[in-house]
Amino acid sequence: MVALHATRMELTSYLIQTSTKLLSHARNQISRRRWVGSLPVTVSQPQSGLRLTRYYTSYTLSVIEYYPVLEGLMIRTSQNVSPELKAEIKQALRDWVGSLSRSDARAPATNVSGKEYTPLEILKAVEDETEFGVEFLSSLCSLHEHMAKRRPGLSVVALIRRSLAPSAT
Amino acid sequence: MIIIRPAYDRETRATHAIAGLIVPQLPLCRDLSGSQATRLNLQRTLQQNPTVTIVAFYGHGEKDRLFGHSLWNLVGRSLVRSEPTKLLPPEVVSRNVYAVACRAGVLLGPALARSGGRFIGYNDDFVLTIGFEAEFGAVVNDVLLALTQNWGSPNSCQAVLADAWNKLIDDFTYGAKSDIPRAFLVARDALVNREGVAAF
Repeated sequence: MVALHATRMELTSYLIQTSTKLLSHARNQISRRRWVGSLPVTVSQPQSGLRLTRYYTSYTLSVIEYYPVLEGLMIRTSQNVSPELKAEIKQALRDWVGSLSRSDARAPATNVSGKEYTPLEILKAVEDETEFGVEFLSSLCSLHEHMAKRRPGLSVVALIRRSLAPSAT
Repeated sequence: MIIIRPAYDRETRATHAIAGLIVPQLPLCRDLSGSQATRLNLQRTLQQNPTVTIVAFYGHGEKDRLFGHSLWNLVGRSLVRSEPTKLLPPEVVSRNVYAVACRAGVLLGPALARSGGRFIGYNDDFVLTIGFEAEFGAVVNDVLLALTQNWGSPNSCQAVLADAWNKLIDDFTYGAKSDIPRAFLVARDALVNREGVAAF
């Protein structure tokens, strides 16, 4: 669990400095109700004495609707993932898809809410940074964190590479 | 308990089969399977069995509803639905609903809780790695079995379901199944499901 504390002014300032792309990603995540997770969010507004702390409930999202400045928190947390890790994961995904036979690369691999994705489609989504692609990469980063907490030294990159077809390893 | 498992498209046929594995072990009063999974049948069954507390659902969901069987292989019809001031069908009020379905934890879950019932399901997409339906099915079925023995507080139920997903993640990241091709995909999909767990 991570506790975040920031004044409204700090967050607003942070938002202004943030790129449109990241902001768009944050909005997508908020609308899909994923990013909040188990994250307790606290926002203080000293002038009015307002202090809000909410957890992962629908009420959190209504708070967010009234305080769009909270989007900055998402951006801040998403930036905690190192670009190097993301790059390594992307490369491992490329290598994984590249190692598969033509038929395996085109066979459905995962079903997300009724929509199937093949390894090729997953890779394309990640490369093109579509909503699904961004989420897929982000979830692999989360998996990396989860693995490291369970067993220090474990890496999602190494795990992906273990799925490379034998002829490519 | 009542189990509802429509089967009208590829996904519901998969969840129908998964639910079928647990049916023999459940203390069932009715299995609304395939084309039987309609609102009318659910309503009748609940009226005839007012003491039934648990309703398990395997299929498609949306933020405010669960979908019943569709005769035309299109979008299923609303089976259970929350509206601003009521639940449909009204017989579902005060029941405990376990939903293996997308997103129903967003609105339907809180609405059930307000009605005096309880809900365990997901706030987000339910994800399934193709070829690993048995592993994903074991998670959701084992949790249902545990709930039939003790449906605890929302926090404890959430912990039970999250722990079950964690176990699957561990099996496929550093456990016995970590060498299986696509293990990372199984672990990722299980992690997405774990993050979406919702209990009210």
